[in-house]
Amino acid sequence: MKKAVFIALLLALGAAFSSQAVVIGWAVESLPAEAAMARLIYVADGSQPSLDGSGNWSAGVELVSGYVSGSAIDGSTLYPQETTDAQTRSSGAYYVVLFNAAFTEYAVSSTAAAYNDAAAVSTGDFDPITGYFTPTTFTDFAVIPVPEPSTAMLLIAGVAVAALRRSKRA
Amino acid sequence: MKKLLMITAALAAAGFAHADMPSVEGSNVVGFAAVTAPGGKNTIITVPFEACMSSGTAGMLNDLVATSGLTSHSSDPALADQLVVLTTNGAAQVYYYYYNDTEDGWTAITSAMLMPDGSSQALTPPAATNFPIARGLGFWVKRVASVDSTLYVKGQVSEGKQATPISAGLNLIGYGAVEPFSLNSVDWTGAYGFGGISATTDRILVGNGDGTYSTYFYYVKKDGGSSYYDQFTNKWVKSTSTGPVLPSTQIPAGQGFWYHRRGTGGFTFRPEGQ
Repeated sequence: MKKAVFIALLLALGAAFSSQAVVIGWAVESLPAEAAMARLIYVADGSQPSLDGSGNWSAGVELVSGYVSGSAIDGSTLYPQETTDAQTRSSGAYYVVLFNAAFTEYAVSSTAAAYNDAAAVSTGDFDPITGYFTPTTFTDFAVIPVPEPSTAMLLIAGVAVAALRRSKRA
Repeated sequence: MKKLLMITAALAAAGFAHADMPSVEGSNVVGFAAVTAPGGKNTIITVPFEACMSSGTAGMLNDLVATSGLTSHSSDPALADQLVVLTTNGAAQVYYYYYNDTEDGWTAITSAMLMPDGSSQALTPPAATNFPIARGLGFWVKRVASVDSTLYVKGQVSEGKQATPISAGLNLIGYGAVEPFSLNSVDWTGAYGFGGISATTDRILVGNGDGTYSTYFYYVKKDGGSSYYDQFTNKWVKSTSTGPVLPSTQIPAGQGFWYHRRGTGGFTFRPEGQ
């Protein structure tokens, strides 16, 4: 019994430590002309991410920031952003993803900021951000895949059936 | 009759007390500033005063920060509130740590502690009674207690203008004013900005009290940039996900901040002008 309590305590402590937030500083100073929005993503294995045929991100991708747009993009500059990641990572890397205005194409930064980048990742009061992850090159803009019509139809049919059942119950 | 006697006695006592008071020499006025120090958090404070209570001598850490209301411990620094001062040791920036000793007040910590570069080093800081703190210098208060407290900084009110040197890299400073102020209401001649917000634009980091900062950039509009950005030029701005915005909050009196000089060289921060 005591052992179980001890393990539970250790797990709770582990969860508390792993949930400590970090702040990532990022910017772009040579933004491609097509870019109208950007966001920061985390990739668990650190490899460059991409979207699959259904428009889903490759494995291990987590969206960290919301979309940055509007006056935050001044010509070819995306002004510095400081994004809080609720998780303290022990591996992986952060990438910047760009989108065009119609949200039909995307590009991914060719370089990444390591999870423990000393300048761009802040871990607390005594460790402020001293530099921003500023990628200068990106992959070519690629079309954002949309689900096949049949898949979309199935999805719509599923939602319709669920709605019908709910209304009958009510 | 009794009432008359009592009034006469009171007046006589007041006269004696007044006669015993030492005359104030010089024009220095003693001041106090109250700074909120949240429990269990770190707060950057700055001293708005020029000299300590002992007239004519330089302000020493020990004299400027009152320990009243703070948590002390007789031997274990980890169980007491601490002051952390950013300074240089040779060419390297280091933190000097002091804890609130129950008997002796602010006492230097000589065990290994976290340094600005992330390393852990054991240093021997000078005694707090011998550590001069210039007006406008910022330093940390690390609170161990879970309840908020008010920290009092004290000293002699200066009639001179503040002049705080800022060098390349991170500087822990503040505006030595006794009133809250807005970043864009004081003189920042010497602050550097270029190309909207670029890699060499100076930054100010104001602590939010939860381990994060609000960052402000010294904005100088890009050559040929949109007229929309005119409103921000030569001002401190916050960079949000939808664009720059002017700061909406004031910095409380006595609260310090980081100044990150990103270009080469430095300047002297003279908030009240030359």
